[in-house]
Amino acid sequence: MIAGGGYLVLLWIGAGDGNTTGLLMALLFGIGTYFATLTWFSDTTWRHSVISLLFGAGVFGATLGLVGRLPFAAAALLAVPFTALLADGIYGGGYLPLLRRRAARTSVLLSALGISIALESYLLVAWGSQRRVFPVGRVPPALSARPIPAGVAGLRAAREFGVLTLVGGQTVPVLDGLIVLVFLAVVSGLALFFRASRTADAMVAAADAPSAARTCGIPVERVLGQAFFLGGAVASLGGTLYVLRSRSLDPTAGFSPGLLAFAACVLGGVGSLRGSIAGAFVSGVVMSLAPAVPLERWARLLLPASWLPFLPSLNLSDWSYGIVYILMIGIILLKPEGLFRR
Amino acid sequence: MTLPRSIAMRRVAMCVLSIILMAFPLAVGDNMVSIAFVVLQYSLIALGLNIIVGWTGLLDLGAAGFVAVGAYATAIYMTRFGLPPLVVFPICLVAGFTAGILLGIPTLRHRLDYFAVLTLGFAELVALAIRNWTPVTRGSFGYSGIPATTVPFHDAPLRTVPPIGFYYFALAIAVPIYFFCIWLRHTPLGREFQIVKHSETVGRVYGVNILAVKLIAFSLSAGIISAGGFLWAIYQRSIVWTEFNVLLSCLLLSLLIVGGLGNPNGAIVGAAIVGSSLELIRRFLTSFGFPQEIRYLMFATALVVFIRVRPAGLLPDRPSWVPRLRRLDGRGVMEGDRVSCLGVEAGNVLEIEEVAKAFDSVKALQGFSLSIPHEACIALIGPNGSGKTTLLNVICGLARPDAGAIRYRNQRADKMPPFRLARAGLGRSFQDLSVCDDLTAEDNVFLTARGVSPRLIASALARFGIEDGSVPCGDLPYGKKKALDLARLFLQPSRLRVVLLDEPTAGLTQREGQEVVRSLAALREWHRFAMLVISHDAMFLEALKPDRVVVIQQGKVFKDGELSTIRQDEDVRRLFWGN
Repeated sequence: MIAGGGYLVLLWIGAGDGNTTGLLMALLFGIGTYFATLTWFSDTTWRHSVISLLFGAGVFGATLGLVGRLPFAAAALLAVPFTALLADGIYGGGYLPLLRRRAARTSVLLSALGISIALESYLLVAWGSQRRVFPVGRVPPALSARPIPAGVAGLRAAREFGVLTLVGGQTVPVLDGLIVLVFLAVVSGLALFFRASRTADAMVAAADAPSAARTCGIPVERVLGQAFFLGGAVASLGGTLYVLRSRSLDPTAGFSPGLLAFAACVLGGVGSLRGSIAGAFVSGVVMSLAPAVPLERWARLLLPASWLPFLPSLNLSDWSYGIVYILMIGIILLKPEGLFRR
Repeated sequence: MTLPRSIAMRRVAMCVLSIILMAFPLAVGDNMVSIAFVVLQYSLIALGLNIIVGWTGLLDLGAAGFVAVGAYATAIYMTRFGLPPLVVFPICLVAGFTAGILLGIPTLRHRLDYFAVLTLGFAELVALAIRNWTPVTRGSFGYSGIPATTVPFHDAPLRTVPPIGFYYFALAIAVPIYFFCIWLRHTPLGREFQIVKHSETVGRVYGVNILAVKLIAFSLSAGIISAGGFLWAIYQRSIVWTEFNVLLSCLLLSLLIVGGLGNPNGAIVGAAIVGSSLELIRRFLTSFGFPQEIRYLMFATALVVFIRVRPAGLLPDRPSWVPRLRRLDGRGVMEGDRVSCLGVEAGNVLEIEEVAKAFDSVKALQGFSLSIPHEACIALIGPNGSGKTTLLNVICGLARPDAGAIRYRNQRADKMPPFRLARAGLGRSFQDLSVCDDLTAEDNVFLTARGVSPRLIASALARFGIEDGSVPCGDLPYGKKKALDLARLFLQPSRLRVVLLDEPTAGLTQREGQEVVRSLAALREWHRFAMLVISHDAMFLEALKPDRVVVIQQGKVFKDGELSTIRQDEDVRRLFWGN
């Protein structure tokens, strides 16, 4: 069923206008965010900082590929444990001492933001602010889509030109397919984890009612550390795929997508896996489809001509993330608990 | 009349400080003056941000958005319409204020975390709007060539170098706003900000219109932050949308964290330390040719270390209102009367008709009816989960009934917001401790009061056995905290018509319980308010001598009668003790 769903998504992407980045990225960030939100929905103000932080860490991990002059696969493999450890270290260094001292939530939040800024500016200092392009040679050809010559199809197209040919003559980059697969694998893995694992139960308990969890013998601090670890791993997967997809990287790349991911989670319903995925999906679809909305033509039809020179840009692609924020504000206004309730 | 010594000392210190502030730029070099200007600008923003983050405790992550609103309003009005800065300044305040109201109306209803994300999103939206609204904001090019600032009676423009003119200009804006904040803090409104931070539920029950208070705080703060944007624009004379990013919001928030949340002096100290060190680092880096990015690395690292060492900031906020009142001895105190004294009435003060309330699948109340005559005392007993506390919540407006009607003095109470009911003389106590541990006992009482003297507070505390009001509430034993809740409720008993008490003696010793009964009886003898008391304490009920006892079971009236009959009733016995 999952495979069938994946194929449907692939078809949908193929049928779309090709602007799939938003959707796919949002999907992945949604998962990365899920962990962060899960652990913090009791102490909720920290969440978004955690996310931006984790995502920053994810990008940080992916940068290893650029920096260490490693082949991509090796870098990607290294990035996941590295980021997970980093996230755990951040938890131990930045959160735990404050948790123990019962610091005000604003202080904790700002400490998290501070770590995030420090990471980001460390990258800025170390690599400079310019955008770095990932060298083509370092990526396997199957992961970099190129136009296919006529007559090439099937496995060969996928292996050499990085393009999947689907029923009906549509084509989809292999990378997009891979992202969908990774996404499905992670989601089903997480769903399984939460269905079957006692550690997951402990995480939910530690987040929901810390003191009650402690009385029941759950080592709350350690469990939260584990959640950070897992969240870091998932976020770094997102970061790695992001780098592959955009083929370039700059140190500040993590912040806006992180924020976007949080908006997507709020939109879907904080603390619900279904909600995060739905929110990510909705944001992705809206972002992909928004540029096609002919706002300019409508404005010309509806508004007096003298107004036109004073209007803001009506090309919705200029508003990229802004659309999701507006969507988020709208949905929160109508349904404060988001699309799905926990 | 002679001034108390501490106030006189304070005035002397104030004079010295103002002389230093006035003479300072004449004594030091231009570099220092421009740093001082930056500090003043940050102080202004920090004071504004402190109103919403420090006082009401709402996390505003969108400060950069309001700075941008102020800066762009200034740039547009000065450049396009050629208005002088002194005209633009009020426009700028109004623009920020309006933006605060517009953003506040939809967002302030929501919980803390949502509010934080919404403000963050707002700031990003403002930046995007500036970039995309090219005809008005010049889009991604930014605004440059903002006219030089001139002030009346001074022909030459205030030049940027040397910035002495700007320093005084900023001082002239920041000082009144500082005093405004200090004044605001001690007004009833300033205390209502603190109530929002402490507990919105308590605020509602004590007659605070929480949403209005939040909206005022948010828009005031937005207006003041925009004033910071005004200074930013007239000094820089060119602005670009990318400056107003999340990093700026974090930086502005860090001013408060370093200084100490909630304390206006702390905001200034934080601005002075963070602002001047950032400026100094910037100059240091420029003169040695290091990349500027190191600045944020240093800043962020220092911030993380600082928060770890001193999470509460340098000057933590310790509100102490009652000692101040005592010091002032009645002078300069805002006296305000919220409730007029209530006259004698007859009939029923409270009528509950067929009220139902369900939480998802749990039916807490299912057609509960009860009439409470004026001056009556009714005890409500029932097993756990029978809907007692829900009933109180529904009566005082904290929860809305799904069906049925509640009439309070012949008005539909279920249609009234809780703060209106509270102002009309309906009071309630809480079963769990609802007092604020960070405040002293007397300040806890004062927090929800209006127009009272220290003596009245002391007598209200003494009535419930708290002799020393200056102890921090966190140090009080459980029984005293419960007593404090009652003392707060009965501060001005003549204003109460009906009092709803939720387990007033739970967790108290027998002697403490007896004292509560005695105090309640004495109060009722004078003030004749009606009472609805939830209690399981048989000794307490015996001493209280209620007119009627109502037994509630599964959200319905199970039995209603005199205490002696209820005590003999076989069904009630079975309900509580089984066979």
